[in-house]
Amino acid sequence: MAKEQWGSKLGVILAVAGSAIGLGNFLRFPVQAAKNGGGAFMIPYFAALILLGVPLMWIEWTIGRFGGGFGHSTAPGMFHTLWNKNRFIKYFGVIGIFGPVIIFIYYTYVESWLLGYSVFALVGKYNGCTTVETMSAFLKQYQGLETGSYFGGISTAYVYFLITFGLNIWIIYRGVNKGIEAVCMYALPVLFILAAFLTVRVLTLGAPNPAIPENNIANGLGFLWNPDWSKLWEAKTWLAAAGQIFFTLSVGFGIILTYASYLKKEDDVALSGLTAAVTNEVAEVIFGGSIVVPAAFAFFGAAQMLTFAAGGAYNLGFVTMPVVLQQLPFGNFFGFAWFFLLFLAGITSSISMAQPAVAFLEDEFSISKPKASLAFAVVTFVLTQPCIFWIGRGVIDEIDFWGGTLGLVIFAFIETVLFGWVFGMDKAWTEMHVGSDITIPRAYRFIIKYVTPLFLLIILASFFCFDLPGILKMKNVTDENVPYIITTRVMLVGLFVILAYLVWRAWKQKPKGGTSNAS
Amino acid sequence: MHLDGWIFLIVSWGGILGVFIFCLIRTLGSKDSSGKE
Repeated sequence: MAKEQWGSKLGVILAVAGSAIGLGNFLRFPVQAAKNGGGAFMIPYFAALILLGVPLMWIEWTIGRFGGGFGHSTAPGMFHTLWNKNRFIKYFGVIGIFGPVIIFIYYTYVESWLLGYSVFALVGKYNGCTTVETMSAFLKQYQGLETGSYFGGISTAYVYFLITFGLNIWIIYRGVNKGIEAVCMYALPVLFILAAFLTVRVLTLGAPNPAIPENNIANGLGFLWNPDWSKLWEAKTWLAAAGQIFFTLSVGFGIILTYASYLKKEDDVALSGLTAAVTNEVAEVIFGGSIVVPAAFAFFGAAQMLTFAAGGAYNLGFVTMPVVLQQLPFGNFFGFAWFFLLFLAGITSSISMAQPAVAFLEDEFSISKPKASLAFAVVTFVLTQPCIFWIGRGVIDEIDFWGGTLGLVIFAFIETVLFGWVFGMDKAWTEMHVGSDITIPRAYRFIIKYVTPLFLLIILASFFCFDLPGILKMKNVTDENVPYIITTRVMLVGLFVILAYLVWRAWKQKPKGGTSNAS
Repeated sequence: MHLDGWIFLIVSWGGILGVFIFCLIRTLGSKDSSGKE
């Protein structure tokens, strides 16, 4: 089977940027910044970007291209090529398939809400829900948590889920060049135009209610940007900044490894990795920081803004924003722009989560693209059902912690140590600069070898000390939700074991000596 | 918004946009692997 390849350099950059730009850029970042010191948050944020995010980008692009040269598009094979004397290292690579799959199973469902809400905004279905309470009831009825005058059950949500899920599988089935790249080449520019459009509209709102002039956009920006220096002395501010950088760049998932494996040996990774990272930062800091928080502040004021932020990112996106946008002239159109922008951010991320598992089946078992896509579709469709029908039971949070939080940090730590220490910094540095369009500052030799792994160790230690014990003991889970969480854990462990077994099978059927350089 | 808030906003936006424009110019100006400009 001929290995797939990207059609152009811009295509792969947009695909990686599309994978990184997700709902978190527009919803999670502004909340994290506002809660952790405002402008002062940007100091640990940029420190984490320079010392953690950008190095990990370069590491993953380089490992991906290197592994792709040996015919591997996923982490188990890549880790094996980096350390072929160790026969266990490939099993650590399972995290790089497991994580994206389990995030995909809930992410596509949330993404389908965005498609649904885009249509609702256009046709005016939630017109009249002009308070946070009524909009919240609209969301709960859509999710099937309540029944009422807006929705009688979950059927509407399920139809949008089927459409969204089918669209994801169709794009994956079309392949890297005709599917993922083609979609991102259109979706990313449209996403940026919509984001710029909404940013300009929000920043020109002034004071929407003349009776309360202090509720204005300048003060809304101040809510996000005025520095609270005292927060810099709190360890959790630095951890929150590191966490945000980690999740926003899609590093530690295994996704970039897979995308970069479709590069040619002489393709640049240094400039492309940096470009993808900074494109994500434009979407996050400039657009993400200028829409939700300033708009909600201008309409509701500081006190309510704190309540919204405490209510979480989804509430801000699905409840607060539609209420705010309805109050503008052409509110339906702005509502559509908001939800469709998030939908595009979502789908360019979800297709990237599907690709590692499909690529694994293609590479290691020589299964054709249609069969691999079908197998992926069947498994993830079944696994998504608990996320849909057990919503409100903590299933999504549980999956997100194991796949989207802890898994990322463990995976990133392993790949950083493999790259800087096992593969060796001299070879790694040479490999990073093959075909490079820029020269990476020499300080990054030191950063990649010492600072990035140390940074990751500190984050891991904080997870193990502060988060993991409470989560393992289900401290914040109500008694009635415990069976749902246990079932979810059994499902996750089962999936991990099956993937590890598949890796074992794949290597068992390989000829001794395993891999050969196909580049 | 306070003066220090504006400073943080301008420096952050300026820094990100500066690197973004640098990367964009270098990326669009470089030859890709298929030899296209």
